[in-house]
Amino acid sequence: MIGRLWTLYRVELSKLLARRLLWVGAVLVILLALAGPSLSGAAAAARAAAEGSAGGDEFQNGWTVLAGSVTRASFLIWLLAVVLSASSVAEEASWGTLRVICARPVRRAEWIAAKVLALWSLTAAILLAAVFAATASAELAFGLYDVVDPLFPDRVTHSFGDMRWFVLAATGASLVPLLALIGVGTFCSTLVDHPGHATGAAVGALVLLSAAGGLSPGFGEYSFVDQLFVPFRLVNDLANQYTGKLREFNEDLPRVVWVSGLWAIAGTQLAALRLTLRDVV
Amino acid sequence: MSDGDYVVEAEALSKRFGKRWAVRELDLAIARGAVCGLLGPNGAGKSTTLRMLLGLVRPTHGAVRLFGASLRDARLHVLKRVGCLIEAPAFYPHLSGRKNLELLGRISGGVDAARVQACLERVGLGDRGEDRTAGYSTGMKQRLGLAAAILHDPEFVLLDEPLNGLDPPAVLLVRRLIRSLAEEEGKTVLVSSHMLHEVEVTCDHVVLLRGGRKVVDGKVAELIKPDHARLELRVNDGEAALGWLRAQAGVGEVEEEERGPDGSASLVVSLAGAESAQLNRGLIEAGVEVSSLAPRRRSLEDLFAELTAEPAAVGAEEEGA
Repeated sequence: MIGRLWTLYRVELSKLLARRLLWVGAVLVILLALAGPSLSGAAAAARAAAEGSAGGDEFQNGWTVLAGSVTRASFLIWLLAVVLSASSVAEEASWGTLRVICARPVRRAEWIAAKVLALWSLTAAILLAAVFAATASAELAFGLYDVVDPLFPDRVTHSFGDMRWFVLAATGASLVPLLALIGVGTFCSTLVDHPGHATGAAVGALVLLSAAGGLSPGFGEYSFVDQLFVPFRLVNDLANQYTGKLREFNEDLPRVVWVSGLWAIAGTQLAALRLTLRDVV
Repeated sequence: MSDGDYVVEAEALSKRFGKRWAVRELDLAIARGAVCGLLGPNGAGKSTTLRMLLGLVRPTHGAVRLFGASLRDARLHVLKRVGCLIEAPAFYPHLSGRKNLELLGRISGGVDAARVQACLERVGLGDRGEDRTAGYSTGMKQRLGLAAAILHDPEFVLLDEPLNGLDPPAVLLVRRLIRSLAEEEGKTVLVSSHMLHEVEVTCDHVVLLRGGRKVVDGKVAELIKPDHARLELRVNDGEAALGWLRAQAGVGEVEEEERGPDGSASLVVSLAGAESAQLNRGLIEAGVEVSSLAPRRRSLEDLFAELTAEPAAVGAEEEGA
């Protein structure tokens, strides 16, 4: 089974790497991450102008810029993941290659797993590249140092080493909601044979989940959509030295992982079940 | 029945879509090494049958055995030995023909670059392998689909309308390919086609479906063997020949198939006791010149026309009808 899955994974990886959309998306994400300091500066200036104050954000530092850059770049990554996952099976159906693949010695559930894993690998690589680009640009623009209290500059709130660990943990945790997004997107892709309609279904599902999370905070805690931006928001809060955020970081990050992990498993399993049970005509 | 006797065995295979039966109670047995043609008008259930043989569509009733093993229980194992071209050939449009074959080869296993090139050359695409399939013509896609079907050297090849969109040289190429698969490589081939003449010259066994049911299943040579009870005549004076023939006691029905401007005609005569030599002599004595006289040869087209001209018995049968 592992051998078959590995073969299918490599096939799916090859197919994805030949997609122009993926490369265009990756370049845009990295550019957005690199432009983080400029965009953060512009946002701070706009906020100051709106509030009528003269100065910028006194709590802004390299780490807050890094977190903001990754959050902005993540928007594009999630969008890319939704479009590519929601069209993955539907596109095969519309091209007719679904028939070609299913008539080969392939277990449909394994094929779905390979699709999800291949897309996750590539979007995860883009996310890692975005974090790296955001780190480099934040270092160049602001420098990444210990986080100190602006009122008490001698007091180190979080050391450089702590912040580095927070960024690494947030990056790792962000990969799980990404997997959940791809799993749910792939499930939507098995529902209709038209890639556009499947993408619409996936976007609709995300909007509904987000709205439900907004209306019911209790539900939001168990919706992966609400967890998408949590890890780097927590990093931003830590860098901004909001009190109590370290406890939140330690409590919220594991929840991001297990809630999203469950959604990822459910989405992928449902997609596999749906494809296994359907007739391929 | 052992693995070696029949490649395909289907028993009471049925498929219902909603209230409509696409295939009903179909028994099918295809011997190893045979080239079998699956014929039928549109909606006869040919494509659904092929899909059920590949496990793409689940039968509502019945079972399929490939190489003696149940398709449901040993799907992965038996599909390694099957190659197919189902309906329109489908490829990843953003990849080249060669890359498409390489990916399919990886999935099927045991396919290297040399085999991919050999398959491309076999279907006449050796120099177009690097082109993206989005730029291929219908005929080129069809040929690439055939290459994909034989890529992993399967023992059983299923081809659904393999001649669609092909120009005459490509039709000849495919015809030769199918024959060589069976005669030189010992493969079993199942071809579904509307091109009756092609089936007649390519296949040695034919199954005709109508309304989801099998109506004919036999060897092509037997189905189209000359009918000695019917004669085809070419005469110089159609009117005189018709008059003389209709007056004979040993002659049944006489049909005029064609009348030339000079009065010559082609006739089909059913014999009811008379001998062909006797008729020939009688016509000459009556002053009619007979330029040809031969037993009526039945083609698959004749057979198809006869069977499909009958009122639909079970076609598109509704539940409870």
